[in-house]
Amino acid sequence: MARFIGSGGRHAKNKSYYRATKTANRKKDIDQIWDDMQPGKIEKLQKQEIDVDKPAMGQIYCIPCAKYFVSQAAMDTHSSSKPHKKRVKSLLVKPYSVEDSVIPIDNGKRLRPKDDTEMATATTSSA
Amino acid sequence: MRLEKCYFCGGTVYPGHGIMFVRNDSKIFRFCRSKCHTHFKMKHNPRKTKWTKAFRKLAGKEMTVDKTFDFEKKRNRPVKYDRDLVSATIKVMKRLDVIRERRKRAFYKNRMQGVRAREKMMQLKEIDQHIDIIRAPSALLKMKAKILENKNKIQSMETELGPLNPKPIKKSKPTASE
Repeated sequence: MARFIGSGGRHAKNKSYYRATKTANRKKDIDQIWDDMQPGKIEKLQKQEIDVDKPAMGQIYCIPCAKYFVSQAAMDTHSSSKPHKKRVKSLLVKPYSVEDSVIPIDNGKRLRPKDDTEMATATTSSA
Repeated sequence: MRLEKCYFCGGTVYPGHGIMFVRNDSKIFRFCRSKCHTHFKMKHNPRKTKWTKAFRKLAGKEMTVDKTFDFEKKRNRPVKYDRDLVSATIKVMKRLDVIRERRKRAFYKNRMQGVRAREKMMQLKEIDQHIDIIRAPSALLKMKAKILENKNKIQSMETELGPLNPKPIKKSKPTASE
């Protein structure tokens, strides 16, 4: 459970909330799923090897939601559900990732009035 | 000393501040404060959170393309101490701050152009549409000329600034054959 679904308040004593917010219990992030859906990787996920430990031996898998299902019927119910459709929609554009966060951008630093006068002199001297 | 960027808000993370999370695919996420970390844990999208740099960048509220950003680079090679180099670097840093600030102001000025006029137009339109709320029907009969004047004013403003809410171009849904 990575996403908190359920009743009760959002506090540490609420067990489902407490577990959901622990990074140790994190499920695949959306940018990881985006990487999974790229050609080269997606073929492997579409045709997975038989794994006895996984539900339905790992043969029924929803790639956008990174979930295994026990039967095709369960998968079909899931495919028509709202969370799945939401997931698919959010994967139409490339999700936000670490690479996007490190692009240089103005850090919001403002020059003080004292520097402002320096600014004026600097601009006149350069012109 | 290295200044990192916060994954969520895009702010600077100074040494000794914030928290770092390393995902099991060895991607490093840095957070400037617990606020940003909590949003990350809740799987919120920074592009949809209004106060983040990611949102502001996408909405065209920030200067993104500028030569002054090219100086900010990750340099993994240590530089041997050189007194002249340090003094020259500090001089350039101060100069860059000044240049960036000037361009930032120009960008802001350009972005806010016509916003006040648009706001005024919106207010006039609101009066025009809901005049019956603030004036009695009998009083309205006497005000015919004034109402007409307001309507003309809105029209002239509209031709000058363009329509208030331009309709977004509808994207055609991809068909099954595509």
